[in-house]
Amino acid sequence: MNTPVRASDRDLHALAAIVSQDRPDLPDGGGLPPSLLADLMGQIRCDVMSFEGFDSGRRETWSRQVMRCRGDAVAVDVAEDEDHVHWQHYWHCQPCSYPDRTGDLRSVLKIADFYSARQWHSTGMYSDIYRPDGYEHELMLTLPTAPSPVPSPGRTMRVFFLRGPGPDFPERDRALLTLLRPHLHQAYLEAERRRHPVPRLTPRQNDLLRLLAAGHTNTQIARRLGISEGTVRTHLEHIYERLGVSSRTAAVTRAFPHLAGV
Amino acid sequence: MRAPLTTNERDLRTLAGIVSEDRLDLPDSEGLPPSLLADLKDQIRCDEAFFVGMDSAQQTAWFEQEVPVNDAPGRDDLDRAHWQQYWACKPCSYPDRTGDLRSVLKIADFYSARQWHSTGMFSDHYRPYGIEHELQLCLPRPPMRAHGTGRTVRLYFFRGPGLDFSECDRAVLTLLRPHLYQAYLEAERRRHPVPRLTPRQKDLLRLVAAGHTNTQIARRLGITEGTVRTHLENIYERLHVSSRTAAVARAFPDRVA
Repeated sequence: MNTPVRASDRDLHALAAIVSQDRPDLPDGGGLPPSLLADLMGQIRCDVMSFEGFDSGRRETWSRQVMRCRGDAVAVDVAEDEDHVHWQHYWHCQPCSYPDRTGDLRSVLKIADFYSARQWHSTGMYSDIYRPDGYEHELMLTLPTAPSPVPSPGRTMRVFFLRGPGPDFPERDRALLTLLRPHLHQAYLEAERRRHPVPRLTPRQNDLLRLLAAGHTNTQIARRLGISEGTVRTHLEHIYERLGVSSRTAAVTRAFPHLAGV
Repeated sequence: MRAPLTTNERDLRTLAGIVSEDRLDLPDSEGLPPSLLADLKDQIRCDEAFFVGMDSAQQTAWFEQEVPVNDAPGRDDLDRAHWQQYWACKPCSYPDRTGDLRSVLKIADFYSARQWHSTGMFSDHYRPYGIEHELQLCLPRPPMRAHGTGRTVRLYFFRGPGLDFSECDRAVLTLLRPHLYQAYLEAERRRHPVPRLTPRQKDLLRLVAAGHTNTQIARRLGITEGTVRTHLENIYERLHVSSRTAAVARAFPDRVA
C-alpha cells in the first residue's frame, strides 16, 4: 500500500475549529458573524474582504459587509454612484458575471482565471472600480441567497478577498475556500435564521408539520401518529394560529424557511 | 500584523480535489459514489470505510455500502449482536441519545481501552470483525424519502489493533462533512430523477411552496384561477400525486424536513 498524501495537523485543526465554533455574535446589518470574518482574514491574507448581496437582474448591490485588516466588520452603505458604475461594467467583466452566465456557483475564482494582467488593466471594471481603490487581485466565492418566499433569479451572495499590487492569491487559498464554502453557507443561513426567528412550535407540532411537508394527507398523518383525524385538524388549527398562516403549505414554508429554497 | 497560520498547500489541495471532482459513478443502491468512498478510505487511513443508513427504531440498516466488501461468514449473527448491544454502547447510540449529529466521534471519547474491551459491543461485534478503533460521522437528516424516526446516515472508518485515529483525521471529516452530505443528496437525486416540469409549472409550484393561495398565484402570474387549477392538475398528473403539499415534496425533494 503506498502512503497517501496526509494533511498537516495544525492547519487542519485551525480550519476545523473555525467551522465548529458556535458564533453567538450577529452582524448589525445582515451578513456573516463578525468573528467568523475575522477568523477568515486570519487564514487568507488580504487587504480587505467583503460579503455582498448582488442582484444582477435589477443591477443593484443590496447589502455589503466590509472587513479591513485590523478593523472591525462594518455594514457599509453602498455608494450609489460607484455602484452604478460597477453595474455598468458588470456584464462585460468576465469573472464578475461568471456565476450568472454559467450557473456555476461552486467554483472559487481569481481574476487571473480569466484575464492576463494586461487584459485586466484594460477593462473598464479595473480602471473605474478596482484601481481607484488600489486593488489588483481578487478571490471570489459565490453562495446562493437565503430562501425567500419570492423566487429571486439573479440574486447571489458574494465573498470577496482583495489585495493590492504584488503576488496574486496562492492556490492554497482557493483550496481552503473550496473546503469552507458549504460551512460559510451554513453560517450565513444560520445568521439569517437568527435575525428572522420563526415562532416556536411544540415537538409534537413539529412532527406533524414534517409529515405535512412530506406530502402526507390528514388520514395518513393520523395513522402515522396514532391519533384521530379530528385531532390532526385541531393540531393544524393551533399550528396555523401560532404561525399566523391559513394553509398547509404556508405553514410548512413559515416553519421551515430554510427548506423552502427551491 | 499577526502572521496567519499557514496550511500546507499540497494537503489542502488534495482535500479540495476530493470534494470538487465531478463524480459520474453511482452506487448500486443508496449511498455515495464508490470513487468518493474509495478516496476517503485513502485519505483517512483505515482498514474499512462503511457508509450506512441506520434505523435505530427498527433495529436495521436500510442501506449499507463498504470498501472493501466485507463478506465475513456469520455476518447476520454479528449484526444481531450489534443491535442487542446498541443502546448500551455509548458512542454507537450517542447521536440518538443527544441529537448531536455534528460531532465526529472516536470510541476513545467515551471509553478507555480497558472499558471498551469489557463491553458487549466489543466482544460480540467488533472483535469478531477484528475492529479496534473507529471514527464515526453522522450526516444531517436524510432526504424526505428516507426520513423517519431513529434514522441516521452514518459514515464509519474502522481500524484493527494499533494506532487510533488521529485528531487530524477528525478535523478532515469535520471539514468534509457538508461536502459528503451534498454528494449523498446528489447521488440520491441522480438515482431518483424527478419528472420534468415546464418552467411555467415550476414557477407556479414555487409559489405554491411559498404558501400562496390559488387567487394569489393567479394575480401574481397574471392568469385566471381556472388556469391555475388546470396547471395544478397537469402538475399532479405528471408527478403522480394528488395534493399541493405532495407535489411540492415530490418536485423539490431537497426540502429535507
